[in-house]
Amino acid sequence: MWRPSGIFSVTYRKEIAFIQTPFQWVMLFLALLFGFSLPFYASLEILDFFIKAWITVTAVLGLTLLTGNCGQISLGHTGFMAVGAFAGAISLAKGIPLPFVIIISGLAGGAAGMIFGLPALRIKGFYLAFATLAAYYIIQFALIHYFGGEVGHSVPPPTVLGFTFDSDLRIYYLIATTCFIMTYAAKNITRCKWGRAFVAIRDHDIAANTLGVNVYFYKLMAFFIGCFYAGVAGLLLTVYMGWASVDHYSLSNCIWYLGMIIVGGMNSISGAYMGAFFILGIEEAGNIIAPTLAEIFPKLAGSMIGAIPILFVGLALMIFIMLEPRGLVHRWEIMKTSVRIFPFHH
Amino acid sequence: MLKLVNVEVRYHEVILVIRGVSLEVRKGQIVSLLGANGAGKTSILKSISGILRPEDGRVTDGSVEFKGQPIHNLEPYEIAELGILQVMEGRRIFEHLTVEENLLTGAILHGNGRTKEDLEKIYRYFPKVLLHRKRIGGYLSGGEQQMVVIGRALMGRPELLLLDEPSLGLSPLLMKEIFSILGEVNRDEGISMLIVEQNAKIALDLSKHGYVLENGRIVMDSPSDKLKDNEDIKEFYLGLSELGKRRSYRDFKHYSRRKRWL
Amino acid sequence: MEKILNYVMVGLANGCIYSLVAIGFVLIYKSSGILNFAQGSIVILSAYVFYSFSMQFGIPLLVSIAMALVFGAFLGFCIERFMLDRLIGQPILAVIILTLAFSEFLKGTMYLGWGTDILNAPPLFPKGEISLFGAGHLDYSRLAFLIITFILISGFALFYNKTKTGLSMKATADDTVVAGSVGIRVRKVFALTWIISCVTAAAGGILLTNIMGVNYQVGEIGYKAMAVALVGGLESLPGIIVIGPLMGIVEFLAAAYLDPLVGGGMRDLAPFIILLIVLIIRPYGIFGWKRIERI
Repeated sequence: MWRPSGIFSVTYRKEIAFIQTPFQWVMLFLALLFGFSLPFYASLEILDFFIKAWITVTAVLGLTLLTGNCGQISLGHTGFMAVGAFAGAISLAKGIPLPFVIIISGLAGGAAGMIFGLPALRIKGFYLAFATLAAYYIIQFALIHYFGGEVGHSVPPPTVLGFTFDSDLRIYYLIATTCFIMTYAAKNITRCKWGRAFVAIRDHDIAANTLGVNVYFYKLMAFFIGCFYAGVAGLLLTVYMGWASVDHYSLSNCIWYLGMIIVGGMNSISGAYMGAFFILGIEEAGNIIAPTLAEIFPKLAGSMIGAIPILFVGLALMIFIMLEPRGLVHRWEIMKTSVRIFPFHH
Repeated sequence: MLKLVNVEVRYHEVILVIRGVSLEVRKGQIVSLLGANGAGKTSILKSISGILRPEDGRVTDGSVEFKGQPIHNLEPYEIAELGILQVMEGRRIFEHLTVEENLLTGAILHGNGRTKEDLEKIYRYFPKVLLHRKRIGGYLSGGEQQMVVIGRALMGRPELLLLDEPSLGLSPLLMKEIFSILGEVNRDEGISMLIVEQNAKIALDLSKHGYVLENGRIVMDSPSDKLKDNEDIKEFYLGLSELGKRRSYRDFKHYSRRKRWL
Repeated sequence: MEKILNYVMVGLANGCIYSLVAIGFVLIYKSSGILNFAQGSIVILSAYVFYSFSMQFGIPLLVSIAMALVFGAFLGFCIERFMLDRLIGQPILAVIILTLAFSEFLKGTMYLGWGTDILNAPPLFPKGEISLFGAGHLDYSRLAFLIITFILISGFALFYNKTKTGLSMKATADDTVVAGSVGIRVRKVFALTWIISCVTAAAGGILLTNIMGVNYQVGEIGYKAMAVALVGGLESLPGIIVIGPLMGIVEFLAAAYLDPLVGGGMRDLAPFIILLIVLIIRPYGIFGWKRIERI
């Protein structure tokens, strides 16, 4: 965040405070104003993009906490989203009110995350990444074979106190509000004791253990919280689509989510926003360009629509990671240093 | 043999850590480089052996010359082929290879011809290593690992050995053992050495010449005997002060005396 | 009993496919400490290339095999040259995402170039089958698979433990920086391993066309092979040669005897369940190196 020089925090409370300068208040206000006034002037396509963006941000926030903060790489994130989505769809169909359904979805996702996070107590790195990939396949199998995942469930528009979320506009507010609350919660988690424990585990779990951090507990909690976010995001997507199906939660999406946290810079909450908008923007650009390209190369037209967004995002992500593997934040720090010490290199 | 002329080292193109250092190592000589933490000792060694690049560092000014040839733009393996090998800080052994394999990696530089003799030579210098030759490197104790790492570098038949804190984390007894072996190697093989050390006493005892580095600059440069007699060195590096004398409060403000060097 | 033996034989041969693909994982992991998630896509891409050479351009079979292998080598070289440079010493996550993004990129390319239909490549081996122990039947292409895999793996194992290049690969895998400082040409080692592993991937792809046909979804086989590599231990070539066929057998047995109970799909799931169980009991695979960590 932008901060003029010469202003220092004099107390710890102030150092970890949410909003530290008046400028940040202004920025927060503007961002909220933008977010909540959007439906009044945006077209349906743009609204659609932003709804997807807020859902993605919610999911990516979970991944930021789990992977960025706690260092537990999860390739099963979309699997956990699917768990939340199915739990939500089934309970919505039973007529449970929406606020409870959100919590049920989150808890279902979190519980699944904790179960498949158990190997994380013993393994890490590539082994863990692949174990979560295995979790993804197992979840998909279970959803397809026991919960009718192939066809999916249709979801009735949810209601809260007689208010029905049936138009895109209303769903936009539901999703934007949820995303905002989840962001606030995520920010708070990162700056409390738990957040510091996560970071300690990420940097060196054995050393963290010797410092009195209960590594097992916090790793499981990281999985629970991260997958809670996934579950909620899965539910939001289901509500928006009006349909819960495993097809919405593909492995590719999970790869893009992980890409987003790298693009944003691993462990910052604002990074989740940056990354999500960066990647989604590229995907959207691919969607827009694909029909034009199909006209130019009519031979390939059949597969163009499906292939172009994947090609675009894959290529963009590769280039980004190759140029700046530590994310935008790292480049930002270097730039700040060189500006601060500008004429004198010492 | 090795000559650094006004070398500047910069990380990320921004952070200047070495500010115009010149030093020289003559053939067969042992030179020690002293300095506090963060003075830039390790960066100097890395600039010589060429492993700055993985850390995004670069020699931005001046030159590193080995036998009259500039080497600061070469890849690490090219420098190693010229005969400069570095023993890195913190006992960087190949943890999953056996001890013997560790030693053999050092010989990859050369043809197969003399590998066996070299190996026997190392075992002669470090009999302890021979005892553990089939064990996995990562399970050795710190001192044994340090011996393996030094032995590995010797397998490459270096002309100049760069040692980065060989005493780090070792007991005084082991430290003595390793340094005496180093002296032996220097005498028998004629290998020049540049030793970076925190333990000034043991390094100055072994070396002919010493440099003192502070904040990326060389602040002292003289034969080891003279350095050992220097008042400042005695106080800050050797931990000796005029024993028995009463010290006035002013003497505790040693930082003000250190400033004088900059 | 006869039925079981039959499952075992087919599973054994299918498992060899995993072993062959898994060689690539292990080689790359051993030299550069990177788990290449794009391996499966490389396998299928080479298969597509082979298909195009032989069927679309009408190039003779042996020549197109050779050309597909060369293509694999070229791909490996390009990956090393353009991507790996930026990856050495970076966090694991960046490595995973780069290879995964590359994999998706290749998938997109294949989708664009060859569509989604299952294509049939020309047969490499004569049709027919042999029976072993009087019961199990094994067709010639699967038998060839078994033999080729075995030869390749034992060859690599020898290469690793007996040659200087093998030793430099091992050393590089352990610590890249130190390997450079003792005079190993790290870049050359990397290039070599990537080329070798992509050529094995291409070989696997060409052989696969004979059994399964060519389709980009067959790339999922890469994940199964990865499960084999992880269960065996990422550092262990012998692990692969044992676990691959075992995994194939378990897979077929699970499909035969568990599917009626759970309602299908066990064949694709079995490797992952086994992986999770093994990882909980032995976190570094059955034959893998135990990580030595010191604070």
